[in-house]
Amino acid sequence: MPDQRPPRRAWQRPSGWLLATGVGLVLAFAAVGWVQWRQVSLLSGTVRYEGDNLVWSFFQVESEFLQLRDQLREVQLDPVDPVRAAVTDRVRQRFELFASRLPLVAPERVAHLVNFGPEHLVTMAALDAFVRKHEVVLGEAADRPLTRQAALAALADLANLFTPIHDLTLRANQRIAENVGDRNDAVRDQVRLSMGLTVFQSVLTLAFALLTVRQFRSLVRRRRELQLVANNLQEARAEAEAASQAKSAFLANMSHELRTPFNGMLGMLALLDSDRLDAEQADYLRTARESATHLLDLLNDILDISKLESGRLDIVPHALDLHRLLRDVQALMAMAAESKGLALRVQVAPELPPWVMADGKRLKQILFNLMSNAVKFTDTGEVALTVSTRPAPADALGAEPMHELRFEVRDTGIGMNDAMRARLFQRFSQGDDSTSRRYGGTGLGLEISRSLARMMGGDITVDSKPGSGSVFTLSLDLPGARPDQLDPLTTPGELLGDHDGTAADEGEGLDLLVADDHPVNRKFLAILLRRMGHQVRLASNGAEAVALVAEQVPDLIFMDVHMPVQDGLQATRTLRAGPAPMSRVQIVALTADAFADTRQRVLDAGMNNFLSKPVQPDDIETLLTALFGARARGRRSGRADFDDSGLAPLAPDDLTAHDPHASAPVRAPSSPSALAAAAPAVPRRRFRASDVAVHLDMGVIGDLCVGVTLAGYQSVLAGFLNDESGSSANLLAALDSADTAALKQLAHAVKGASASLGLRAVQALALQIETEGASFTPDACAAAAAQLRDLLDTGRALLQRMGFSRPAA
Amino acid sequence: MPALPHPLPRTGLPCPTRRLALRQCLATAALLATGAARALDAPKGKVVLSVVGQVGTTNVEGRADFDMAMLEALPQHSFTTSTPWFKEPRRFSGPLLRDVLAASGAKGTGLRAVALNDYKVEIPVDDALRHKVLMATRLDGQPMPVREKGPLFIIYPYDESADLRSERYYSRSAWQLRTLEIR
Repeated sequence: MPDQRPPRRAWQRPSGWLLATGVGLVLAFAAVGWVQWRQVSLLSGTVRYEGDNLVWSFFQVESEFLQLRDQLREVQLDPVDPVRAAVTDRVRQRFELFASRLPLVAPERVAHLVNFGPEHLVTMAALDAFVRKHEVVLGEAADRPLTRQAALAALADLANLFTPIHDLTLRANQRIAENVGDRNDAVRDQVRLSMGLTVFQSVLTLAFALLTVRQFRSLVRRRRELQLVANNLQEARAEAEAASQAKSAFLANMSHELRTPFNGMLGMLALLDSDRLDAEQADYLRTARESATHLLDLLNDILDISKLESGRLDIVPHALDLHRLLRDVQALMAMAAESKGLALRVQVAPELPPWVMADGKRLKQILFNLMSNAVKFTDTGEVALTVSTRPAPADALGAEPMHELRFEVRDTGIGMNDAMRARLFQRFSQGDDSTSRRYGGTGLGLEISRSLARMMGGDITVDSKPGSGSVFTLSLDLPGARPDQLDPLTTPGELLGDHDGTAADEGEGLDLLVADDHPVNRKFLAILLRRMGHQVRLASNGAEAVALVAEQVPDLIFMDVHMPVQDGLQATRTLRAGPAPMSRVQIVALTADAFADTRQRVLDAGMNNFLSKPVQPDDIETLLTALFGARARGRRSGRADFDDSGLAPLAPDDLTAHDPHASAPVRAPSSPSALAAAAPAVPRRRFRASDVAVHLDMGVIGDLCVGVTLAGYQSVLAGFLNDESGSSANLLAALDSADTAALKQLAHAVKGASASLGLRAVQALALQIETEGASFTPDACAAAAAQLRDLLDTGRALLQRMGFSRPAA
Repeated sequence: MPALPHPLPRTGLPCPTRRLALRQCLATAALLATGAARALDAPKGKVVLSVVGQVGTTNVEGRADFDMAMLEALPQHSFTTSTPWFKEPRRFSGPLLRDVLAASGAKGTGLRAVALNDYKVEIPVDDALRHKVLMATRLDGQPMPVREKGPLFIIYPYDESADLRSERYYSRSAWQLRTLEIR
């Protein structure tokens, strides 16, 4: 409980009382010490009373006086004259004794102790006079015999002295008693004072002790309270951690659960996309795919944000080919830019390091986000990506130097004012409310991008003016890399697998096993792989997979990680523990979540590679090619071989699926889906890097452009594509009507035209039709027709893309 | 005689402890030994000191009388000490009390000193053995007349110990000494 009491003043606090009591005690001790010292000095003063009892001394004077008088009276009574010797001796001794007493009460000796008044002086003077007068005859030194006359004279003088002596004695007695009384009083007072001080001391000590006890108790209590608070905090923390763990586990589960149906949905929608749909259906399909893709983007962004928040997003740097990455980015953005009529420029500094250590996936994500935003918010003009670097000093230790990279995305769009710029990186803010409705998107992109940039040790900064566009700058310091540092578990684009060196056995296809608990996933992968020309067996959990492997060891297993009964990791361990060749089978993990520790677990369990869902056909093909070389091409060829035993009977149109370049969706994070709504009615094509090489002969086209200029080529090409001569239409009509007799001649025409224009694939098909068309079956004709249409479309699309041809008005 | 109020109580004899008793036995034995050894001459001059009571060596009628010459024949000691009776420290000389007791063959544990004016005080023999108690015959080298507290003065070495500078020992310092009663 927080201490709500107001702060106390110094005199209120217990420690203040404690201090005061302690000071009081010290003072009391000092006072007592002083009193006792005074007492001791008083007492020793008493002892320094000359050591002799004054009262006794005065009494002695009187006593000796009387004894002397008695002696002299004895002489008086004895008539013998001179006095007898024995008596004389006695008298003289008495006289001397009497005289010896006088100095002890002399004023100069005793006056400083007690004042006996002026009578004292007078009496003492009289006594001294008496002694002086009579010592001639009465002193011990007297040598003559004592006469009666002298003795009696002395006696007479002595008699006069009795009263003064007696008075003196009495007075002395009284005075001394008074003095002693005073002294006693003083001592008694001091004792009283001492007692009082002692009592005070005791009280203070008691108070001190009580206060100390109280302080101690309050400390104990405080400590107990703090302990309680600490316990509560610890419990709360444990709860919070548990909640966080639960959230992370929930996240991991959901990311798998959510992506799996998406995987299925997107896959199925992709499979639906073919030329058999009419325009309206194609439109619906396109909308569905765009919606699904947008939803997937949103989901990915949400999952990214959650991962960032819970600290579970990992940046996994690997050796990255910067130029290739930039080419990919450019390729993907080019279409979006072109569909809005914007120019897209990518400028790369020549001193850019070829290889850096970076997380390619995340870097691509950031660049896509920045560039798609630029395209999104620009209506006219251009979007430019400029990549520059500062030259890095070579490290003295010979380690790879750090390169300071700057990726600048500049657009000529609507721009932002300062208010918008300030809110830019906040969640869900896209300028203002109207902007977000107009431009769509998830609103999370910039937040994710900046978080990713900061996790990589860099940052994203913005400069913008309303109406004159914006500049987003991603600054990153990345270390250089060497190509031999490639991580075997990188994105499939950079996969290096082991080549098992099997002889290129063209046309046989691979024996593949797919293990996944989700029926949609299994179906999708099966179709995909079969189209690629491989044989596929299916298992719905790890145990089934192991059983199928035991029957016949496949070339490769696509193993889902999360499965009931026996999951992928367990199945892998089981297989690895078995005998060869089962233990050496290639196993590739399929998993929906991409946490780094999942990858590690996959490796630890014994799997060879890793693909993340949703799986791209592209990635599968690259993987298979890397592993099996030419065998990976399966039973695909440019030839129209329609006998595929082992496969389910396919409709003639499905033969187009043999084309490895079937449009499967290439996933681009934060794709500008809204742009599709605003795009003109040109069917969007997706191209792969090898399409041009397959469909076109760039050498021929180049020569033509040199020979007759670009404009010349374009016009001839337009003639062919628009079929001004009608040769394509004629050939197609003949194929459609299975007019095999006319095929040779018509195909020959098409062959020539396409060959001269560089349409390689069309040329090849035309050649095939020319040489074999006479023996085509009706089915074969239909198939060929379809293929021809497809090739023509693809060729046209490619040439349009490249700018050799304009889309039809 | 009026009662004499005294600010300080007169102390009585000290209670002998076991050590004290042992010492006294030894002392008595020593005294006996020395006493038995020699005899005592009769005094020729005026008698200044009579030792009576439990004495082993007598010269006159069951007591040991000393004149000044006999006392001065004993081994003489002297020291200077401050006293309550003189302003400044004075030099006292004479035989040790224990030597006088030994010469008279004293056999007791206590003695009573009696002065010319009948002042009496009890002194434990142990005092004479423990301290260098002087039976002073000379003050500053000169004999003391009766008027000057002579002829004999029992002097403790007060300056030697603070304990001796107390009323108890001052009262034992009898002057005008005449008789020692051994018991």
